[in-house]
Amino acid sequence: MAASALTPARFARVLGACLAICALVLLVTPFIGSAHVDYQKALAGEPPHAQILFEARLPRVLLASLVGGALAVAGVLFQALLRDSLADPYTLGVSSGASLGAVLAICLGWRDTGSIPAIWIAALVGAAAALLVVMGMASFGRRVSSFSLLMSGVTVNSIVIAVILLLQNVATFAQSFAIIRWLMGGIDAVEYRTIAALAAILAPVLVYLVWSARSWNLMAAGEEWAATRGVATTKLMWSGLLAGSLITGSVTAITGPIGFLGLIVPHALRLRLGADHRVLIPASFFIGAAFLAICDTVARTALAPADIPVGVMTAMLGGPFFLWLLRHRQKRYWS
Amino acid sequence: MKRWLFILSVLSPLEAGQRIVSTSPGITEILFALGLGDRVAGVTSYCRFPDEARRLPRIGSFLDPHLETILELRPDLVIVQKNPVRLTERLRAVRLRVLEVNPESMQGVHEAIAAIAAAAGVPDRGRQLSERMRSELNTLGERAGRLPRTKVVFFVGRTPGTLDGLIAAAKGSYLAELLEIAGGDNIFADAPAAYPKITHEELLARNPDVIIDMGDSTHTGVISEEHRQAVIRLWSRYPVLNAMRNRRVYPVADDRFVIPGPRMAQAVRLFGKLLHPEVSW
Repeated sequence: MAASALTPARFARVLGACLAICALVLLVTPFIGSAHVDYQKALAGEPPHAQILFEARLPRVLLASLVGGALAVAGVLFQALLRDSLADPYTLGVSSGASLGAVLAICLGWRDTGSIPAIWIAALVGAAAALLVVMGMASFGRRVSSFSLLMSGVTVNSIVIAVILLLQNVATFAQSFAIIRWLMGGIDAVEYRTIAALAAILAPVLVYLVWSARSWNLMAAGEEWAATRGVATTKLMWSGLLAGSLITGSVTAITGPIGFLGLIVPHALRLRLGADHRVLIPASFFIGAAFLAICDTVARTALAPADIPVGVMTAMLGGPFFLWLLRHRQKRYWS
Repeated sequence: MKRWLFILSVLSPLEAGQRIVSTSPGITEILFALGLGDRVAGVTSYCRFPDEARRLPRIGSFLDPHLETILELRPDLVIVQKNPVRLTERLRAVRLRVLEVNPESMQGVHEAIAAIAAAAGVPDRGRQLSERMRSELNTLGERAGRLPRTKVVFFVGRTPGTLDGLIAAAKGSYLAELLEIAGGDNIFADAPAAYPKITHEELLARNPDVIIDMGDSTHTGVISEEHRQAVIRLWSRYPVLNAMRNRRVYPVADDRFVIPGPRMAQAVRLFGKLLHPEVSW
């Protein structure tokens, strides 16, 4: 079933189901929360009901779904690009680069640059810098190989993390507090313009990836395989790297690192739907979005008024489910 | 004769702790408040009060003490604040005399004062200091007790320049104790941790009258007018909050809020001014 050929009917059925799940989650989760909201009063704009619903809860649901979808797609992309099933959005050091930028901003006391928090800009710059270093190390002329990308990514990751630890050690108490909090990552109620800006960055990248999905199918099988079938592999590698890093960098700048999702959602869907990227990429977006929206709903309500880092929830909710899926799948293989 | 002198010197409490090393700002403040400043041989790099402490040799920080520097100072007594880096065990292993204290609550501060005063051979001074602090706090508490309580939240941290990652001082924290005495009604008293990250949703629902925000203070000290304006701009996202409506969002940066110690009455007085500006503190 999983390996069945992609017919237009199956494509529509699978994506329709994923979209329906995502829509359902987005419809339900804004109505779940720790504070009491009178929805009639909220719709009439009465404080604090309107503010709780529209300024605190809804932006969180929207940000969580956007970030979840984006990270899941970035996971699919990096797994195909690096041909490594353990790759995730953070493998190439983009997120540790972003973290280093944020940590530097905290240590140097940069706070705001007009309308955008300095820490977000610093994180974006850090992500770009990490990517440039990794690509510079891994490329030879215009060519770049998955293996050297993976190796230099892992190495740059380690170096950057070491620098972060060093900075955290020399930081003041208040600074190291802020650093630890940032490194935990999390979804917060940001302003709508932030969500809009993030969506504006992500939308074209996601459209491009869906559009180039066929090439990623060939690429995932092997670079030579792809090349002999007419894929401009060098160009595809570079644009894939750029796309994945844009996604990871912009998301991480706002939320900090959120682990596990980028690894597990693509794999869970691959187990269920097969490895065709034409389905996998859009399906990952919808399911990733739904998954993080659910995780964040639990994170903001379970211990209210306290907030649980959403990365804790992604691992605690997603981990057991993934193990079950894996076990189920194995049984079918062996029996 | 010589032997007698030796025994006397061992027994005499005055001889005990002639050279004292402090491993936290709170301990340093207690030592100076007990009038033992001239015996302090080393402090941490965060010890900034009183001024005399700034001129003393540095032994690293609370979480990153340099064992070698401590040994070099040849202390008779090292006072350690309970910490996760097992400093006490490490110092005892090299046969240093160590006193471990835990001034993380008001009660803890009084216990630390008594223990330090006893170890330094001046137990009376310890009792006097604690007594003085208690009576000062009682006076302040009585003053606040006659006033209506003010709904307050104290943010100890957030991601600088944003309203993300708001960490509040909740039940069980030292700050919550001080706010309580100053007439504050902590809106996050029911949180399951002493310093929880809280959601905007709950902040809006509980609607504090006063927000005290220490979130941006990467270095404690003075808040510039420009910085103050920037913090208010951040909070202006929620104009429905009573604290915003009544212009009672106060950015603060003060060591007295983060160092449990002999200056706790001063911290309560500062809170009192923010919570009830209408009376004189």
